[in-house]
Parts: sequence; structure tokens; C-alpha cells
Amino acid sequence: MAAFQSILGVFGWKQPLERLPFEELLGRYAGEPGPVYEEFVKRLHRIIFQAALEYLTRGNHAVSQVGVEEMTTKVFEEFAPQFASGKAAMLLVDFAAAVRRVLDHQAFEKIAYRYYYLLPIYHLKDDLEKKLLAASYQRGIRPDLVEQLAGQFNMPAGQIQRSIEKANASLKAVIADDFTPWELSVFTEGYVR
Amino acid sequence: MTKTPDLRQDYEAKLRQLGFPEEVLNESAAARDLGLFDMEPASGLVQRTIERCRGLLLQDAAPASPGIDPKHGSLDPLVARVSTSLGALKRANAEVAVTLGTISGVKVACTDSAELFRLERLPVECLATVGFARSSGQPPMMIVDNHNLVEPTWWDVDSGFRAVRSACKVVNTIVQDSGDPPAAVVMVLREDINGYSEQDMTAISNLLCTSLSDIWMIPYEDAGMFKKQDVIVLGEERVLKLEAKAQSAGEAFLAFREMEGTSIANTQRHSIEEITGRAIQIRHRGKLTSIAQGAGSVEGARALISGVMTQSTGATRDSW
Repeated sequence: MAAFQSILGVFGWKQPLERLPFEELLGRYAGEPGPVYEEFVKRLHRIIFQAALEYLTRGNHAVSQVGVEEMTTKVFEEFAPQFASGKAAMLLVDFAAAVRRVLDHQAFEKIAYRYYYLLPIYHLKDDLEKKLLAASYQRGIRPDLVEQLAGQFNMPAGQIQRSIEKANASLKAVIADDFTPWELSVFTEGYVR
Repeated sequence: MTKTPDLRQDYEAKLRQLGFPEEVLNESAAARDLGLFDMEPASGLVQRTIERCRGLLLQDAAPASPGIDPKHGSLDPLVARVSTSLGALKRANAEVAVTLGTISGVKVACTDSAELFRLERLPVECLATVGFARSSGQPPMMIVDNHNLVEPTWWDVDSGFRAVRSACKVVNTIVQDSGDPPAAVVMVLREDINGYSEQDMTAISNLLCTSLSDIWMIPYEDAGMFKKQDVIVLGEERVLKLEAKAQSAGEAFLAFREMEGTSIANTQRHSIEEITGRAIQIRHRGKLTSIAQGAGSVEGARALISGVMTQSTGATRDSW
């Protein structure tokens, strides 16, 4: 498949942004900055929203939908100027620093594992597995997860369940095969091992 | 929403069967308990966020900061020069990084590039702590140098460790001139004096005689939470932590986990400061303390460490 895509690349074919690993997003930034940043926001806004909700709730602020969304947007605004200026492989680590600056470390800790697991998830080869796991981690692993995903992807719950089991097995293989322990330590602050 | 224990166990068993990692399940369970899944972002949030960020991307981006925050007040000409140079260096680094990122469409593999990146970045971040030291009157860096995790010789042989040490020396020189405290280093000793080789002792002796940092030593038994940690706190918000012994200096340099945030850095600073109260000071403001006068030789360093080890209960520390 990779070889086939390389051949297509010669003819100007590009992988859709939503399939790219985080590390490769920045490589496309020069040609399509807006769509690349949009893809970045799409992938992370939900999980940052949850961190913002935790931060505001803990601070006894009056928590409203608007307030949480404003805080979420502030995190992305904080990061926007440095978005394309860092090392591609450190994108999530650099963004995590922005989350900690706007919110705080405690809020980040509430989402840290799901946040950093997105790095290997976007290395999954199978598109369906990638989409299902990304959505699971973005939404949060909830009791009604399978039913929610069934609705979102318009698929039978049984098929979703089998695909998630398969995707989680593939994810273990990706973590073991695509990264060295040192890469995981550096690129995920040690959260993914 | 509170679930009854049985129902909750059922849910968790069901989710566990799907193969999610345990730490992710635990994190999600905690998030559910906090109600973090009870509110959903509106569908227009992504577009609104993009609109707000549009003007901040690309050419509107602010020049990279060297890490010295203007809120810390005016800087003297020397520090200002360092700041300017660091800013230029950091921007150059960023350009190189973008180029590398563009070239490396493939998952670059990255032990080498990650090491290179950290190697070029960390010394810059060390140097940038001058501003923090000047404005706060606190040590620019605080280091727990755990001999059980980082071998003393690694600071001499590995390019990454060497670069950090050199940067630390520059920082100490600058802050020393202004009378501010230098970097604080607490060495966590090994359990057994026989665990140190001749090369280890030579490296320690050299360091003790040439360093400009304030240095303490603490026996392993007294090191508390730092028994299994090697920690570097840079300025007011950057923390690097190593929690397992690596096979080599290069691996160790890469295996440091990086964290950022004022609260976490403050916590670490406080913990390190606390441990110095139980440790024995070896260097103070550029000079060896009275008990460490013989540390210039290997035998003297060994005798010093041996002496510190015997103080592990602290019972006779005052008379030593």
C-alpha cells in the first residue's frame, strides 16, 4: 500500500489530511496552512474542551458552555503562533505546553493519556480502525461508547465492537513496532509506553 | 452522574474487553466521575476557533521568545545581549526544524533527530534561565543528580550532558557577577561506596573542584522521593525528569520526560529545596565547604562520599 501511494505521489496525489500522522501534518503546512491547522483543531478540540471544563469547574468559576468553549479556543490561540515553528515530532508535546500555560498541569493530567495515545493511533494503517479509535479517545471511553460510535459512523454496534477490539490490538503493535521506547518517552512525555 | 458499584463494574468490564489500555480506562473513569463527558462542544466550535486563530498563524507569528519573560522586568545589557542571541538561535532552530519536518514525510525515525533536537534546544533553555534568576533571586536551575540513574562519567562523555553542563557554567558565571544564587545541585549517592568506580570518583572530584554551582550530597536512604528520580528544573516552568536507569548516556539524555508549567516547576523546586535541608553542603557560592577541602583528589572524593554515607541517619551530622 505504501509503495502504491508513493507511485501515486509522483502523479501529485496526496494523502487526505485526516489520515496523516501528527508528525506529518506540519510537512503539509507550507502548501495548505489553513486546512492543516483546521485538521489539528478538529482532532484535539473535544479533548481540550474536557480539560477546559475540568479547569473551570475546579476553579469554582461559573461554568457555562460558552465559557468552556472560550477557554478551549484560547488554548488554540495561544498555540497558533508557534504551530509551524517547532519540530514536527514534538507537535503534541509543544501543544501540551500551551495547554498547561492557558489551563494548568492538573487540567492536562485529566486528559494526558488519551491525548498522547492519539500519536500512535494516527499511525494505524486501517482507516476504519484509525477513525474509531481516534473518536473513542477524543470523546472519552464511556459506558455507551459502542452505541455512540454506531450512531456516528452509521454502523451496527456488533461491527463497531469487533472493529474496536481489532483496532486496539493493532494499536499495541504500532506502539511496539513504529516507535522506540525513547521516541515514546520524548514524543509523549512518557505517557505512552 | 453516579453509578451503582455493580453497574460501574459491568461497564468497566465491558470496556476492558474492548482492549483499551488500563491507564486510559482509569483516566476516562475519573473524567466521567468529574462530569467531563456531560458537556459537549458545539458543532461550530472548530470553525470559530479557526477564525480566531487565522491571523495568528504564519507571518503574524511573534518571534520566538528566548524564554525570558518581559514581565520579569528590565534586563541588564549583558543579559539583554544573551537574550537577543538566544532569540536568533531559537528562530534559526525553528527554521531548521521546519525544513527537517518538510523533508521527513516519512516517520522519521527519530532517535537521532530527537537527540539532535534536544541537544540543540536544552542548552538554549538553560541559558534562558538567567532572566528568571535575575528577577526572582532563585537559583536559575535546580538539579537532582542521582548517581543511581545517571553515572557521574556521563556528564563528561555524552555530548548532550556536556552541553547542558557548559550552559550551566555560563549561567552560573553570569548570575555570580550579579550576586544572585547559582544553580543548585543535589547529588543522590549510591547505596554502597563500592558501587563507585575509579572513573566515577575522578568525574565527581573534577566536578566538585570546577563547578560554580552550589552542591549538596545526600545518602541514598535519606533521598526520599528522589531515590529513583533524576530531575532538572529550568527556570520557572520547565522540568525534566528521569525515572529509570538507561543503558547509556545517550539513552538517558533522551529518556528524560519533559514537563512544563509554573505549578509543577514550583513543586519540584520546593521538594529539592526541602531535601537540601537533609543533605550535606559541599560547595557554597563558588567555594568548597570546610568538610570538602580534600575533594580535589580521587581518594579525597571517596573519603568525602564515604563520610556523607555514614551520616545517613543525620544523627551525627552536626559534629561531622
